[in-house]
Formats: sequence, C-alpha cells, structure tokens
Amino acid sequence: MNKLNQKRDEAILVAALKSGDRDAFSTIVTEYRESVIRICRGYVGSKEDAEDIAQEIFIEIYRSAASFRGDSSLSTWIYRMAINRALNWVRDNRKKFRVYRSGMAENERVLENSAGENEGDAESTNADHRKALRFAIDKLPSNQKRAFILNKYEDLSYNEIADILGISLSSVESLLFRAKRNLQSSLSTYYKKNLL
Amino acid sequence: MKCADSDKIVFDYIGGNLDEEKVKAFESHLLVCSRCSRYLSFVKGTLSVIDEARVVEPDPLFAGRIYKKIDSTPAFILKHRRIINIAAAAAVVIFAVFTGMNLAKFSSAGYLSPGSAIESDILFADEMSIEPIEYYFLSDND
Repeated sequence: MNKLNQKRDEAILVAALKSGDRDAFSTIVTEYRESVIRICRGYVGSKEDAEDIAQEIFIEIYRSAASFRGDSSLSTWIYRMAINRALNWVRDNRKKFRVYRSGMAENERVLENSAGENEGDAESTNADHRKALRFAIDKLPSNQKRAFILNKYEDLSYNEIADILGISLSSVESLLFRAKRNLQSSLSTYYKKNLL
Repeated sequence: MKCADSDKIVFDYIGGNLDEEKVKAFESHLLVCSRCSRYLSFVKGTLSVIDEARVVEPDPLFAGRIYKKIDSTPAFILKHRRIINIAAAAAVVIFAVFTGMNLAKFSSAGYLSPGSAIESDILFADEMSIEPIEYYFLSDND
C-alpha cells in the first residue's frame, strides 16, 4: 500500500513539475539536492564545483521536465541526469580541472614543505588522501566510475544502480569488483610514487 | 604474507570482508611491517574522504540561486536550448563546408595547388622549346 501511495504521490509531483509548478520543483530540489551534490563530489571532489554542477543539473531538470516520459521512476531519471551532466562538465572543463588540480597540489606541497617535514616516509596528510582518492577515481573507466560513485557516495544498492545504469545486476557486481581492484592498484601506485 | 599480498587485501580488511584466517595473517604481517602498517593508515584515510564528501551541509539559498538562473535566461532559450544548440552546430558545419568549398575553388584556379608551379613551368618550357632561345632574347620584353 505504501509503495502504491508513493507512486501516486510521485505521479502527482511529476505532473505538477511538467506544468511548470514551482512548488513541485522546489520539492524536488529539497528532496534530491544532497544526493545530486554527493554524486557531483564523486566526479569533481571540490565542494564548490560540485554545487555549481548540481545547480546546472536542477536547471536541466526544470527545462526538460516536459520530456520525462515516466518510463522510469523520478529518482532514476534524476540520478541519470546527474551522472551524465557531471561527466559532461568534467569533459568540458578538463583543462581548467587539470590546472585546478595541479595548482592545488602545488599549493599544498608548498604548505607541507614549509611545515618542516622532509622525511621521505612521513605520515600522509589530509591533502595526500584527497589527491590520492581523486587520482584513483579519475583513473577508473567511466562505467566503473559511475557504479562506484553511485554505490560509495550515494549508498545505492546494486539493484538501484542496475536500474539507473540500465544494466543487469551481475554487470553491476562485475563493475564494482573491477573498480575495487583498480582503485587498490591505483592507490598502491600513488603511495609508492608520492609517499614512500 | 608478503607486502604485495597485503596490498591486495587491504580494502577487504577495511571493509570486514576477510575470513578469520586471512585477518590473522594480515594483522600478523602488520606487526612486523611498518610500511604496510602505514599503508593501511593511508588507505583508511583516503577512503574516509568519501565519508566526508557524503556530508552535505544545508544551504537555504541553493534553490534561490537556481531560480535566479532560470529567471535570468529568456524562457524561449530555456525551452528551446537543445534546438538552438543543434542549429548553432549546424551553422558551424555549413560555414566550414562553405569555406572548404571556396578554398578548393581557389586552389583549382592554380594559385594554391602544389602542382600549379610545375604546370606553369611545363607551359613555359614548351614555349621555350617551340620558340628558339635566340628569338626569345631578341624579343621586346623590356
């Protein structure tokens, strides 16, 4: 009964959104804001960039509400849009992104050096962790990255991920298994290269 | 257990996915290997970045910023952004094709093609072979 009510409520919300109802849109923004930002954080790391992309995603949702056919649930549609938009943003801003990351790395290295540590085997810092994670996630193939971000950043189940990506459950399991293996390998490489 | 083996199971160790035997072997290795012990701390710290990223602070102005952007974009453009993008892309392609065609026309007139110099040389050479060289020097070219 609960599921039926949920579906009915969602249908009413979607109908209102399609007609340009701002209250319906506000409801969607409130409900999905955190999820969309989390997914964006998986792609870009920076809080500010993630929020910028999230805003663009909601504008896109507002703009294309009329084209939502209802083949999937509203949440599935929103997650798909979030992933595609975030990926497009990273592609379109690859240069700026690389400069930002290298600039960030440079600044943080300066700070670390000025703190007086010079041992080759020093304890890793928060900055090292963020850089390492970014390095490892960015190296993942895009399908593994999508599955990993949905699972680890948004805590979605394998079934939910399968629904969003339009693939089978076993494919999700395979993607996440390979993502884990690749991340392990990348982190090990990063550690040996930068912190040993 | 070797360090390379330890590296491969560190994720599973952190996630609690190892059987008892492997946990014992891993932890025994950590007792004697400071490198792997530090690596475990490093991986834990790195994965904790994800936990931090999952925390999204409330932002009461978020929706307002979206509305501001929506309202500042003309409704026509907002509604038909896709068609406008496609039309713009088509215009670029047409311009490129048109420019390419004109360049091709220009080059076939003999100014740009690499063979054109050779062609004209051949023409002149033919003329020179038809007209004896003495006559050429005697002609009023100045």
